[in-house]
Amino acid sequence: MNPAELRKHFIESLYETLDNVVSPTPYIEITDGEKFDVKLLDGKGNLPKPDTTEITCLDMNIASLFFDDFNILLEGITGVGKTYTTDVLSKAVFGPGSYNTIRLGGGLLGASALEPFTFTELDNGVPKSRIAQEKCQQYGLLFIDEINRGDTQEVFQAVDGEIHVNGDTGYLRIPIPGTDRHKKLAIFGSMNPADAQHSSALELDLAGENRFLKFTFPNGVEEAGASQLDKRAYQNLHDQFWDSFRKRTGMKGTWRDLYPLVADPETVKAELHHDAREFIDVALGYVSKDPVEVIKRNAGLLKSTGYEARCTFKDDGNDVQRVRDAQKNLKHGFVRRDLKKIHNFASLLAFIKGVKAGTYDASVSLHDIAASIGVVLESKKITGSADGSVLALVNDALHSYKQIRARMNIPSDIGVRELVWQAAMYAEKERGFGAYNSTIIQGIDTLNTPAKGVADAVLRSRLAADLAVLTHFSNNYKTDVETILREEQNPEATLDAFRVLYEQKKAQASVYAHRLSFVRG
Amino acid sequence: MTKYIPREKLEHLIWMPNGSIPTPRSRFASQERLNLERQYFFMAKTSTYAQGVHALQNGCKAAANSVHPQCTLDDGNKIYRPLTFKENIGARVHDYESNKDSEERLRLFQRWNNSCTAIAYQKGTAKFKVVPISQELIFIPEDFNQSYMKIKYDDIEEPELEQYTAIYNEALTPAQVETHPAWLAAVEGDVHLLKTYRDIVVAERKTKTAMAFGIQTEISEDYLRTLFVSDLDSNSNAGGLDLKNYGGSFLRVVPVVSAGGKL
Repeated sequence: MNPAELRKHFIESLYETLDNVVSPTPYIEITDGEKFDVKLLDGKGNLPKPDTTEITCLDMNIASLFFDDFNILLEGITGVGKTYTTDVLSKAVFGPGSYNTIRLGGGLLGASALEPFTFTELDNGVPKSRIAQEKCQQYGLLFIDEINRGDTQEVFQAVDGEIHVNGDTGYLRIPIPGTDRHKKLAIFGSMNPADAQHSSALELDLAGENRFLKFTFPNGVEEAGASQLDKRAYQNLHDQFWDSFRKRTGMKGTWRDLYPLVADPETVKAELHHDAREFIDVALGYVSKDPVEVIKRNAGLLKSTGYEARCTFKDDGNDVQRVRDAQKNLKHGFVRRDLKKIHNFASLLAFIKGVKAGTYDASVSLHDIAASIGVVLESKKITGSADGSVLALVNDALHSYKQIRARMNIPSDIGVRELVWQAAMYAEKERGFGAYNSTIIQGIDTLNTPAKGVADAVLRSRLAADLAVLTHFSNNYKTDVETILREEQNPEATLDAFRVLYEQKKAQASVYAHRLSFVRG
Repeated sequence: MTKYIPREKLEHLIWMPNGSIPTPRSRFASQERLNLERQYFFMAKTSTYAQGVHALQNGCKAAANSVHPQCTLDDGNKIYRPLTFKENIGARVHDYESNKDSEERLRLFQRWNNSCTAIAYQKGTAKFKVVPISQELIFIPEDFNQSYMKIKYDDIEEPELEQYTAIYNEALTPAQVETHPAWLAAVEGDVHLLKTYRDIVVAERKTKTAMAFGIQTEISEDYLRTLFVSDLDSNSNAGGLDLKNYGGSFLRVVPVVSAGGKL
């Protein structure tokens, strides 16, 4: 049975088992197609519509099991179901004794994130903590409640899957049968919001939040109402679930044999489409930085390569301010780790959509990336700020990006810069290096024109500046580029040769490494 | 990893000489629809190239809904022009593929096609240039009666080719065709189109060599001629055609007419 079929049976069995146990809590809604949109639902689902996927908190929890680098942090007031939802999922998949819940807290009696994996022995009469290696492989999931109240360094070790205690090292993972790989311990965290009502709660520090995708667990009680009374945690969820899975697949074994196989992250990895990859580059400048500064930076790059920046826009006084107001709600901007988070979360969204559509496919589209950027941004908001304002920025950026693509007639799944670059290579082969340069310049000229608004200006200035850097790189290494294009007849080989040249020379200037990575794909 | 992107997906972004930067098409779908709504027919042969150009322009002007290509003049007015060499090849390919299972598939191959593409020679050298859209040919006087048109070769801003760098005036193998500099210049670098066309010629002619590219030697003064493609029976050769003695043979583009419609 192939991995997609295994996932299908795993997920169907799980939903079947949990149907009577967990009431769905709608989290976000993604509308695909021409009218792409992402909305936070805050526990209130809409009527189903074509092209629209509703994603619940349980969907997110289940999907996260398939990604080792993806840890979910549930933030919400006490009693909304954070612990309950995670608990029943853990019971079903891992069963008693194979998952652990700890509650961190300050003071002498507070638990440690490493506690489930350690024991204490007397060393010359002095109590000393040691790693219990068998315990490092005992659990499938660790749920850390009140994660913001514990020792941060210990939490990080658990999250990273590698713990160090008094000179011992332990790896929190279980082997994947038939491979030399391991499935990492799943970590879920939860915390009360650090607001006035929860005076003992603290904001998790930056390093902590960067390791998690934090999302606000909605309080759906008034929406779900009495229907939640029917949901009860049954004692035999684990047997129910795995019996159903074994029956569907004909496979044998316990969760320890089957779960790592089904949730092997290697089998759900999905390559980003090139337009999705490019959108990350261009959108981040708009949604998480001051747009005017980004335009200035790109104008500077254009100027240093001999172009006058013309991606101006008419600001009516509200356009830029609206972006700045939304950004004020962000606790901090994007960091490098967020790029991986965006990719992972987009994979997760694609995965959930594939499940809901019945395809169990996980290929990541431009829309998945846009939604993912939006959700990651929302997770960075200061507690208590209004929902949705940063998602609106992502929608603006996506709209602008699509318009740029339409104007330049860029086929789907291909990036704008990538297409201009390859067009230039055709031009060189057919008419020489002058035509190569002229093709890139023509691409810059198409982008470097007055914009319709701030989002359009940010995105186009970025694309134009990157192409300007490409001309600089190409002219710096003109002889190499000409040689590549003259000698290589096979287009694939030409691309590879150019890529090799880029890898060899990119260290000459960081701007090459940052702005031309699209060459690498 | 970035993959190789086929030329047809990005040709609208490739810089073209003579300042004719191609306008990006709004959608591939609409471009395809446009092609499907067109068809081509041969105009009646004329005694000279110039007479053929004027007959074509007058015919298009007289049609209420002409879809034949035009050039825009500096004052904003437009003028109908003969198809370029590349457009002629494209028309043959399109028509062939649209009628693949019928005898009609070769109808556009049965006569030579004149074009508004010129081949320009330099006095006393073996150098020449291909001009995709030649203003001189489009505005040729109706009574022009010379075998070539005098020009200033150095004023032409097109890549220069040289006859010693490839095989000329001899039939080519399929492999030689697709890398032939003059053929490539003539189809404006569209390798895909050239290969498709070559494959049709080879298949229909059942021959190992064809498609010679003919050029003049011993050039006594700078001049240009129209670039033509010959009929299939003549091996679909290309080259500069005498403007006076071979007459005019042009394709005209018309919309596909539904039942009961009029041109």
